[in-house]
Amino acid sequence: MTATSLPPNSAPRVRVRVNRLVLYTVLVSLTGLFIGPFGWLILNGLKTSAELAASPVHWLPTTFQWHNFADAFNLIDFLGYARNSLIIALIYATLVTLSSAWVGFGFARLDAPGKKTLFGILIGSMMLPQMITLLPTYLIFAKLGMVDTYWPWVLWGLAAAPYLVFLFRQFFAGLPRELEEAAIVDGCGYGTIFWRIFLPQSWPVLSASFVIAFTWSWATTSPRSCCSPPTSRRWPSP
Amino acid sequence: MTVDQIPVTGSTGPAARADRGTPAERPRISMTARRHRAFYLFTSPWIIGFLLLTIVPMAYALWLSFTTYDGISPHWRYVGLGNYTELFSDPQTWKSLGRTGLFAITSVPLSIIAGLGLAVLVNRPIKARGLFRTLLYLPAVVPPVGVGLTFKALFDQNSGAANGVITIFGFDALGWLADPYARYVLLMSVLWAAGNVMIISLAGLQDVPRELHEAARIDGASAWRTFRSITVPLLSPVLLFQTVTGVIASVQTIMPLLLSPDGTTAGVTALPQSNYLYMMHVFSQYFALGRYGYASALLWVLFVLILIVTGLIFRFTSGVVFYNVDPEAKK
Repeated sequence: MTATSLPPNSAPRVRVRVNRLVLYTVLVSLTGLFIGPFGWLILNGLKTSAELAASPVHWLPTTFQWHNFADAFNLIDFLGYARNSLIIALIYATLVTLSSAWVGFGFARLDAPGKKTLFGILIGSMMLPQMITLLPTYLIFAKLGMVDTYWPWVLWGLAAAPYLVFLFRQFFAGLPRELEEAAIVDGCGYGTIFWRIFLPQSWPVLSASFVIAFTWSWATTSPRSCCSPPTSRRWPSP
Repeated sequence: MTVDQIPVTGSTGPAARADRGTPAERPRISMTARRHRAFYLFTSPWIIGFLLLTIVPMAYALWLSFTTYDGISPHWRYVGLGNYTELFSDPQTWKSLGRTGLFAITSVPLSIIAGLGLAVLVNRPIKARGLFRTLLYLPAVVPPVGVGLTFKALFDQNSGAANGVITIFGFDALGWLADPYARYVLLMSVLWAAGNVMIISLAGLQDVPRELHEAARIDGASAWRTFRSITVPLLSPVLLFQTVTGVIASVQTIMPLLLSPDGTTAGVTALPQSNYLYMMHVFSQYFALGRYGYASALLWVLFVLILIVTGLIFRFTSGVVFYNVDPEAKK
């Protein structure tokens, strides 16, 4: 705002240019800081183990050990682990998206005594520390003989995820009421209304939910990965 | 799909209609009942799932916390509050709890400040905005296991980039992953994912009405004043959400384990002291010592503490957080 007291034209333009220079310097250096670790991993991936153990640091590999990347596939059953991850992620993401949409429809378009309380519990359960249920859940699944199977993921999928229920609820609540009124006049049940009228309109949310759920089960540390133990080990697990 | 079969009215025959009130009110009553039934039908997957997959495990953990169960020995017995009295007199509980509190009150505000700062930065009209946003967000999608491995590679005493940089400036190489420094590596590994806060704040920033900024500019407000008096209040619900979920996530983080040399649950007893957080105490009781009962008691104490802390956060922010539209005031 002090620019008004300076000679017009030249000074503000210089100031804007300096500002932009500072802005881009900050941006580029921050971005470098954030993606630097990825670069370090790639560099490390191209070194020999002797170079990796050497002190002081070898910044660049003397010869690029490209075969390291091929070895990563061959030394462990990489594709097998990736397939396990993929199956789990697909099962969970598909089921949880459908079940959350189903539950979300209930919270958005239907009423019953106790709805408010249930919705409060739903939102509150998002804040429940997952770790606390994990270890007892593992013990229970172990007793049921479901550890090292896909069943826990099927069950988690069918049980809907509060976060996604909330997502669908917000979306369904925004659709016009006439949609279901017309269908009710035509004698449709709520199941048909959900399946034939609401779901086909919600592709953006369905795909968002699928992507979110897929990444949860594919890559999260998801404490839940403890329920798919060593023999079916998935590659993101430690 | 059984909802399809629920009839619109009990019976629609013309004979039945005569003895059942006026046609105008009859369908409405049965419609209401039908909506009630449908509501419970639709929400039942979540209700049943919540009972079976959340309440039952928690109740089971509560029961275990009153026993000496270890998963192997058949001679476990009921000890009442024994585990709880032992827990409160165990110095490790208090020390690890203190470290966890310290970790939460440093990592949560720092990631929110960092994420908000990044959001403001990439919300400006800059070139290649999408690229900057993507690159800054990228680390946030790295699974924690990957974060652990990456930071172990960066901060390795011999071959790590961090020691490479500081030796250039003439300092001695540091044992980053060992005791006094391990906590800073832990903090940095959390800040690396500040893109999470950035992306959510960015969505919030874009919802701030342009007119408000224009009005502020016309009134001669400085950039900082605009940020403090317009942007932050309008973002406050988002920031509150970030704070609460951040605190909950940070008290149960397993990152110290992933940063440990061993990196498996067996290595939990060999952690650097400064990274021996409460959750690590639970893990060492659970996995290293197999004391399921005692560990369950620790988990229940943590759960109650989280409830209290979350409640306190909501209580102390209730006057500060600004809701543009009260979500519950709609009806």
